[in-house]
Amino acid sequence: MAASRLADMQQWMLGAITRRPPDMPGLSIDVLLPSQRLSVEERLRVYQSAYLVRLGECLRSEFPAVVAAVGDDTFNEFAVAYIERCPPGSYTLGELGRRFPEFLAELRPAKTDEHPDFGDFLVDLARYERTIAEVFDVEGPETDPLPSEQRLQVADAAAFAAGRIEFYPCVRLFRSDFPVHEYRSAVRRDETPSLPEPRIVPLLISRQEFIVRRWEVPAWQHAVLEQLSAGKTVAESFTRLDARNAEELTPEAITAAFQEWTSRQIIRRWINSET
Amino acid sequence: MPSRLGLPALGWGVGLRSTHFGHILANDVSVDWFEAISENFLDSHGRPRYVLDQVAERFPVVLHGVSLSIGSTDPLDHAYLTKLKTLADSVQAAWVSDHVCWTGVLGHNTHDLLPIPFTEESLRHVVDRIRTVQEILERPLVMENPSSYVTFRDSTMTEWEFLSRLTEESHCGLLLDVNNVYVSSRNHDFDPREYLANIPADRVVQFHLAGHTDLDTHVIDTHDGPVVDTVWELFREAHARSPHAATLIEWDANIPPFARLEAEVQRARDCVSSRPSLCPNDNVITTGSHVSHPAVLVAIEAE
Repeated sequence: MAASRLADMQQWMLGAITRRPPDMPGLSIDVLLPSQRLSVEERLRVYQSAYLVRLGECLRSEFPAVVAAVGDDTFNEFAVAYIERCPPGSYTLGELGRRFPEFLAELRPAKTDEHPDFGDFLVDLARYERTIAEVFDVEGPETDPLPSEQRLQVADAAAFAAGRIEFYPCVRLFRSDFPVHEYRSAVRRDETPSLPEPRIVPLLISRQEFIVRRWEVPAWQHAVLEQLSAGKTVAESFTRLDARNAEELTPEAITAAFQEWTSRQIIRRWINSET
Repeated sequence: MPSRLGLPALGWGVGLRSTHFGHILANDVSVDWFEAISENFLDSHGRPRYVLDQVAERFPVVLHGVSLSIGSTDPLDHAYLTKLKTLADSVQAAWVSDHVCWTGVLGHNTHDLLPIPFTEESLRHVVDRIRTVQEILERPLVMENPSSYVTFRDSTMTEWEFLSRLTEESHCGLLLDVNNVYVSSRNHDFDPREYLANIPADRVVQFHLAGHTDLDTHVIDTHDGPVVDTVWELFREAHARSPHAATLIEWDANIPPFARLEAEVQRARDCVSSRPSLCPNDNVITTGSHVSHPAVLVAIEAE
């Protein structure tokens, strides 16, 4: 047996399982043996079927709302095409769906106008479900020994405004043209929601007690959180808001927002810019 | 070489699955130890890792991998192995196990446990890689016989000969999956008792037991139901040869309430005790997609 026989055999078998057998001299389905009751083709089919079914089931479990939106048959077609386009390479199945939203975005028909359509909804829904999967298992507030109410205790208001805010890695800011969060929640309640009307939805997604939570927040809060997440100081983050938010931006509203963010445990710490 | 590589006799355990996280944390459970799927915890900073840490404080934990791909001709994934060692050290894993298989090649992971031809070339390849992995992990590996659905014209030895030489030459332990022996015996027309009789009993560190799906012409290792009578009988024989090996019930699809798993563990205990009449006789015909292990995902908990 040649030194590379095992490597060649594995390359051939991978191709056979994924139904793209490579043309390799000396390698064909005859490398396999039949059993008393199954032909080699039937035996190989066990692996071929399991490959797509197993990975398809993983995608279905990560994107249940997308499944509900397009139906089982269409989702299966998406899954097969996705697995062929983006075959899994990671040791963990948690990575399998990482590029699925991007894949759907590439697959969608060209838009005919600027209005959000079903394709936009589907891509946003997939992005939302993928975000939930990521938020579920990254670092969050649960094991931080410092009580959340102590994380913003700064004596001097001016120093606080000059400082920056560090969020937990599980905090995500999400924007959609549809209320995808309501659609997914309805699916999880075993309802059959219809396609929602489009509306701009700014969401804050994070985790409390290891459960992924999402809140629809005012647009100005979303904008401030984006600035803070980008590393701007507290003062900079508020001054970058446009005039449309001016009426909402009362001192009481700002104080309430920080209290809300604290209670939602999204803030890891305040960082003094002067140190 | 001491029996079972000197590894502890853990008793009777079950696989740690996300369906049961809440129950296990909140209740006293009548199992001795847990086996966790390594890949579900290697990168976790959320509930899965928290639960594993909590469980590891109360019970011995074994890490069982599905992506080591020891038989692949791709290079070993050193980043994966580094994470595996860190996790094993952190939860004080009693041992680390994986399968005698390959999961992919050319950077592609099928997430299936694919069979290797039982040849001298395969043996050299796998032995060398097990030695390397054991050096990196600084602990012995415990290797499981996977169930399989094809055999190779190139094979020059039986599976049990291959495993015997593998353990001897790499100094690894064996995780003897009795259900897999049965599944493969049906698929490849061999006598499972001959298989069990020729396995080095002193190297068997652990047993796996699980349900399967019998399609008459072949059998698929679906882990979606109770252990069947024939497998219990094989288990009794195997356990008599390796009486201190740990035993674990796997149930990965159509997962029942934890109490049902505890009952299955008790059946395993009864099966090898002086009360063989208590062995089960409730074989269930399961339905489903007939997908073989190891698609084990952690359920996401979201509002």
